[in-house]
Amino acid sequence: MENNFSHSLLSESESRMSPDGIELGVRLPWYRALPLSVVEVASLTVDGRPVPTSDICFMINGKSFALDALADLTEEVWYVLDSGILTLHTAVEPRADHEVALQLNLYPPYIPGLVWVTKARCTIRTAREAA
Amino acid sequence: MSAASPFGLRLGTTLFSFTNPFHARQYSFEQLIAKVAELNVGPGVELVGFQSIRGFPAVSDAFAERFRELMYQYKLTPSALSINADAAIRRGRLQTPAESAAYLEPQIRAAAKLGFRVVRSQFAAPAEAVERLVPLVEKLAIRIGPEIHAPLSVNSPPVIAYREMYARVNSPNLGFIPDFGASARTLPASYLNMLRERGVPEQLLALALEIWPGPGDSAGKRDEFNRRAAAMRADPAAASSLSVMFSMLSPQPPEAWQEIMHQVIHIHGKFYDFDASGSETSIPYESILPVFIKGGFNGFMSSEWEGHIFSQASGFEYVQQHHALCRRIIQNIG
Repeated sequence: MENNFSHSLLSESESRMSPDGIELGVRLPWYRALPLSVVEVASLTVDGRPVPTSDICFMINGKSFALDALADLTEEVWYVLDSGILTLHTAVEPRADHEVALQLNLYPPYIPGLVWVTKARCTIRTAREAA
Repeated sequence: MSAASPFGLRLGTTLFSFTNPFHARQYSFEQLIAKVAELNVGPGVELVGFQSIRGFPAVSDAFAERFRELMYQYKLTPSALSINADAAIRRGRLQTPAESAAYLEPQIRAAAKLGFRVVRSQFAAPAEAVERLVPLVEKLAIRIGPEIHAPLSVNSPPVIAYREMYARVNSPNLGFIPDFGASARTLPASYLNMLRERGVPEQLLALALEIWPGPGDSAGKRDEFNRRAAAMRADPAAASSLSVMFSMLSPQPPEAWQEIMHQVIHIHGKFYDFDASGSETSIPYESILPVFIKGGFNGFMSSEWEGHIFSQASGFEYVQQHHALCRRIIQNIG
């Protein structure tokens, strides 16, 4: 089931195919800035196929982090107005559209025990040459 | 006493109410301040530090100066800065009281730099952490208080722990911030309608409405709801969307706040919806506000709309409606 942030979680205008795979623009599904230590990419699929965590990096504040490094980053903050970029190193057919599905979990640190689950889907469209 | 009186209960707004247009990048921080003045929903302005201020708890001299200019320009008053006790910032363990105090300290200094006299803290910081901060808040002339938010009541164990510490320390800089979601009479129709639209079955909604107002503590009622929802083989996501309401709203009688009235330093005027006559549909403001006004509360109440959880609306009209309701009640008390 969607929540009220599902519509903004994935930013199509900030997502594109790249030489390495796909870049996804992601908005923080919460009302305030949070440290990366409480951000977790729970699942990410392209055309229904899961992308291994080791093939994904998260870019924010001009830096790139492996997903399994996030839990330790208590000092690195995702400001609520900024877009992060998930970079997927995965082979995709560049001349076709691709369906991406993301589940992002947050652990709001002032509510110990709460898991805030946000799911969203979007289509990454192939860059077509103007006729 | 009137809404314009410099003493007693004064009205205001937290920019948290406008989370939707801010998050959507439709309104900047400065534009939201201007909106508070334009809509006449001041004079109090409350901010969530980690929402409104990039880099918080660091606050640059330039930002602080600009904020003070904006308050002067629009004839607004900084009412409270909401700070966060991020006890679980490290996954797998909670902050110690010393770590919690060290985490709150720069946020309190930020409040003083911006001209706030009150900070909203949270029960995720134990009483022992705040006790360590008493010399700091006394030096900075800041009053600090945790928000008593649903499912807590004035006699819940975490609140009692603070009340015992307050009695021992006896500092005028220590207090409480009630959130009126803790004095609700039912669950908000707009949230239930949003769940209906997303396919949550009527039977499950009825179950939540049956259990929520009953006797006992909120955790026990939430557990009963979860147990009976599972027995009905409800979709876990649908059940979770309702079980969260047991910690967003709870039914403490308005008169119960009298017990801590002398320690109330600020109020979160939580609200969701209005009926055709302008009354809040789930929180009985006509009963709650007289308790605070007759009880001698002196401070600000921020209008706090939590619509970003269930709506895409800006919050502007809702906050105006809330102010209209509260002005009417205050005037009727005279």
